Amino acid sequence: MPMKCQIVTQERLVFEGEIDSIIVRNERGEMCILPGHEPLISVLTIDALRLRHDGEEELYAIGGGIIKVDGDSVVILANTAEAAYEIDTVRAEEARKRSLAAIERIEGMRTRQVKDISEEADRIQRERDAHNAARRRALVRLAVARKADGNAASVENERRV
Amino acid sequence: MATARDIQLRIRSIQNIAKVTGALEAVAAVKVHHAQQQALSSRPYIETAQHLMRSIVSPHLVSTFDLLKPRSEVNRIAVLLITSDRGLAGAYNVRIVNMALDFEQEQSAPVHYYIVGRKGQSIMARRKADVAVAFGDIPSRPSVDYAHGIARVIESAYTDRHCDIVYLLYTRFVNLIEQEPVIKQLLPVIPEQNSDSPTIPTIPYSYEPDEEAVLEELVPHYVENVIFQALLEAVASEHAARMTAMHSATNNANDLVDELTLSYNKARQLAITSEMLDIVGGSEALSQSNHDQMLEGSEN
Repeated sequence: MPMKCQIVTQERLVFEGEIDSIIVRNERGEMCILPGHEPLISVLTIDALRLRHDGEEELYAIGGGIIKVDGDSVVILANTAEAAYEIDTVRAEEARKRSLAAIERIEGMRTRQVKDISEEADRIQRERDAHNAARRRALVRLAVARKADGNAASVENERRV
Repeated sequence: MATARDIQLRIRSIQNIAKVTGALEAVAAVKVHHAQQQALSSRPYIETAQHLMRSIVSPHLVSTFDLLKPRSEVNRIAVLLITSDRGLAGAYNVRIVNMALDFEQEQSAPVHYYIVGRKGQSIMARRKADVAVAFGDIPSRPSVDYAHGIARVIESAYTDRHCDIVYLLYTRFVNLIEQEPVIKQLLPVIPEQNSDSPTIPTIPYSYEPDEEAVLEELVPHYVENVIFQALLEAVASEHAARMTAMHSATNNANDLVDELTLSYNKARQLAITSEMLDIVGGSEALSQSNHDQMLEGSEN
């Protein structure tokens, strides 16, 4: 029995159709959702998402969001979402470099700063988080685009490089 | 009385105006269509987000969330006002600004403004309103990123206690002929009640990691989405208002051209008649004097 699935962002409907299963990731790890799953609402991490229908697998890059599962329907409210073929690898590569440079700059700032004003530190931390998220989005996009089974493992590997 | 040439010049300039207003109308029609399309494609997100808000938000959670918890004392009120950059849109900007000022009159606490769109900015400055932030131009195709930027500014103003309640004022798109300015509470967030499904049976969802984390992820995006939707509707309304205004301007210009063409014909006819009278009068005078001479000669 297939289940209905929608992937939506604020701007558009990215995917709508019947699927057999969906694999997503949240903080705790990867989970596969099959028809008849218990009602669930969960926060998704910036990661790849896999849809299976008619024996085929489709990959999507998700920039975080929320998943809602109700028995036979799955809705994903994604902050960003692209199918593998939609990803602009050149842009993603640029974004990766840009975020990396920004992170390095912030790291440099940190070591120089002797006086640690908590408010300033907070702001820097937030900025760092934003750049880290941007970097992760870029990495996920690149991984998905390469069809390199965009699960977190390959993303993790890339991170270490 | 104007001469035929004067009238002809006026007709030409009015015809040119009609061309411009006609073109503006056509452009506005295309833009309305686009904005409507954009608003339509983001509908699934809102519906699910509203559903999620309703199923998660419980009184117990509300009290722990700054963006959800109503403040006991409202000392400062903020209004996010969405206007347009350009005029020639009928009463579009005036209506929304008047609504804002009327609203301000009714409040007991001081009101300050966050303004999107250059027109609103200049009108409010002239009316000596307290403008905290002017975001400048409204994009012709609002993006989520743009809404995100506005949402962050407003949220931090709210959490830093620069205001205790935030309202959103924009022009709702009813249809091509009708647009109405509306006011909505933006912060603290009140989950919107959908009229179609007033009571959804609450499904016992399990939450991962927990309700708080889900809400923490959802609420900022929800606020952003409300702003994004308002921007889309405002843009659609602006173009619809411009379309109507330009349509009647084109009609008026055409009516005027018709009227002027009539007076042009009259003036032209008058000129011809008077010229002919001159000629006829002249020749008549000549033949009269010949006749007189002949009479004088025969007498001799």
